[in-house]
Amino acid sequence: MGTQSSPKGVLEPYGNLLWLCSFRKFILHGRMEIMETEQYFPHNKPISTEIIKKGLHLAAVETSFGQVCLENIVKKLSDLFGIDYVFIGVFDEQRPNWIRSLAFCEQGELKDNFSYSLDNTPCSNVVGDTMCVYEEDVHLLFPKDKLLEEMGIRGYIGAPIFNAAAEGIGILVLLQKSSLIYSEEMQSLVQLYAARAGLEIDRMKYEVELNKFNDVLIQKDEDLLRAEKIAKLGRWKWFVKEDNLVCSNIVKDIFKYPEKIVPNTLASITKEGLFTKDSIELIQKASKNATKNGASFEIELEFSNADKIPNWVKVNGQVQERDEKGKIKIVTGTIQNITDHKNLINELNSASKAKDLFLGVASHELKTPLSTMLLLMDSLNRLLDKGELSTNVDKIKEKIKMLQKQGNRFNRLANTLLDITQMNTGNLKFQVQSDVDLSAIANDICQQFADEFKQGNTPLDISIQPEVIGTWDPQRFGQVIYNLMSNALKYGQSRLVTFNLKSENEVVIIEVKDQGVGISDEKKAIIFEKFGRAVDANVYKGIGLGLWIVDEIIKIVGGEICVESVVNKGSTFTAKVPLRIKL
Amino acid sequence: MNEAKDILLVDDEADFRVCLSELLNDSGYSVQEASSAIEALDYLEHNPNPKLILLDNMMPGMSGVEFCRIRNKKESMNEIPIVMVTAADINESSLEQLNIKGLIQKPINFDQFEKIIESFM
Repeated sequence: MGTQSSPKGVLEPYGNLLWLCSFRKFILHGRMEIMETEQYFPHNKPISTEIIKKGLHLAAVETSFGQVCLENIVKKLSDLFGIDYVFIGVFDEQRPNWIRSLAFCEQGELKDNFSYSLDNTPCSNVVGDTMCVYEEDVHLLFPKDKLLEEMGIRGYIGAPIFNAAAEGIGILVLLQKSSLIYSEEMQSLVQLYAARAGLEIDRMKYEVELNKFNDVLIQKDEDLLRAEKIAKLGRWKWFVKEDNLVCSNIVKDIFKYPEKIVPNTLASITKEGLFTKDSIELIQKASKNATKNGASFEIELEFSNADKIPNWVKVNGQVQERDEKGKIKIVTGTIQNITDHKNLINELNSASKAKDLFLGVASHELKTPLSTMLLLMDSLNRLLDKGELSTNVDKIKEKIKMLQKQGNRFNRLANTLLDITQMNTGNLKFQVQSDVDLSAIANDICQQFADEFKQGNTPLDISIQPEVIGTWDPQRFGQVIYNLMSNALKYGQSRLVTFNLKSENEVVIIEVKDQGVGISDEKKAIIFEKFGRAVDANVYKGIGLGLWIVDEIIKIVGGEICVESVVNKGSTFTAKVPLRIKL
Repeated sequence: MNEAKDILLVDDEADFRVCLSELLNDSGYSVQEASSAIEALDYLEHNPNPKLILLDNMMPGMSGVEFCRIRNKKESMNEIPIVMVTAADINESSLEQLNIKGLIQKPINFDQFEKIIESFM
């Protein structure tokens, strides 16, 4: 192939002509001059129209994507023009001024990719700049490019690859072991393929980024769903005009909707009997306010889920979008299951009420012996004022006995209050002693009650096995008996009460039986609870903690207590405790 | 019918009742004791003439408030003034509804108590 002359260029004897039509440049031995393309067409041996048509057709029908597309491009160019080596390369991000091939074809066969430095190569003039063609002896122009020499390359075509932002990102290179026969049509085709490769590389890059964004979005979506599930928080969106309600899946879980009856309109939600009447009113008021005034809202609604269990949700809402006339188009918000929170608040309220009631009752209980004691003192004072002490010795003794009794009662109440504090901290104190005469303790307490039973016209039948000797805290053992006897007297309706104590196989059995008001089955479940009462606190005195304390003591020592009762027939409490407790 | 008494004292706390009754006796009042509201109603059925009823509230069987409701429906009893003597917290507005003339909170100071009683006699 002969040397081409140029209208403006100065040609060396071996100087092959290079040009880039699209940029209207010529490069001669690396020097660039602006040329008019139409004034110059370098090749006098144009390739056949048939090949150009085929090349155009192939380019047009190239519908593959990604790596396959790039490989198709190098293969097609190799096949079309009978080129020995064709490759597409991009800048290597790891090494500046290096090219990394993405697709490489040797005589129609795909080969492994490679990297090379642009230094001293014909490609260095091409990348990000112009298209270069060396029809022959390119190795002589770039003597330092060892690869050209080793591969025996003579002809070279390099087309820059640009991205959508017109930044040079790579190169399409055709290498021929022999001289090249080149034409304008061939140039256009190479440029076309380079542009296609540029688009594809760009698209691949964006695809990778898009996938990354997608992964981030998927991750965020998963995080959001997880957070929604943990917080039992759902999202909803209401398209006002269409009355279309769209909810996230967690909303269905919150309400436990069967799939087919998920309400999808506000109208259906307020009609289907899901929410209570009060809640429906709240929804209607909030939605009206939001659509008319654009007001945000936060409401708590009560509903029965599919299992007919009362539940609570907190619904927040605010305007998301208005139409061009300013009318509310979309209201959006969240919905959260707050049933546990509500239940907790209800429990706290109940506990608080029980505590208030207890304080009232405890205050009354403490005032009762105190009132009697103060009145007795008033009475003694009067006798003293009248100087009648010496003439009323029996009366005074009786009053002092009463004072002692009421003082003991007061002390017992104070101890009970102390026990409550200890039990609340799980630290009920025991002072265990060996050789404790449990029969004697039971006898003492029964005797203490004798007067009260008499005053209450309640017959008392006592049966105590003598000399039941055990290892116990005498005060705690007495407390169990006292509380059971106290209840029998209180609720016995002046009918016979029987007390039994016996020991069998290292177990002490205490049985207290009355024929009074009795306990309903429903109340049996609560009588051993703190503040649990089977009767009206306004009618029956006591702080409602007696059986709770008994139960706690018995549990601690590893015993058991049970009750058999019929309303208006009476109750039998049977406690079985170890003869010798070990704590 | 027994001899008319000045005061009907209704309280389930025996020691308190006995002691208060004794002090009132010493002050010159005749006192009839009742250990429950039911016993008091029974007494009033046969002796509807005390000048004053001193009534505890929290009592087994029937509360003082319940006693008042029943008593208010009985013409023979509803004119007898009632003073509630209790350690419980009573809503004062309910006193009027129950036709209770006065409230004395326990514990009591007998000197002051006596003066209040005098105003009803």
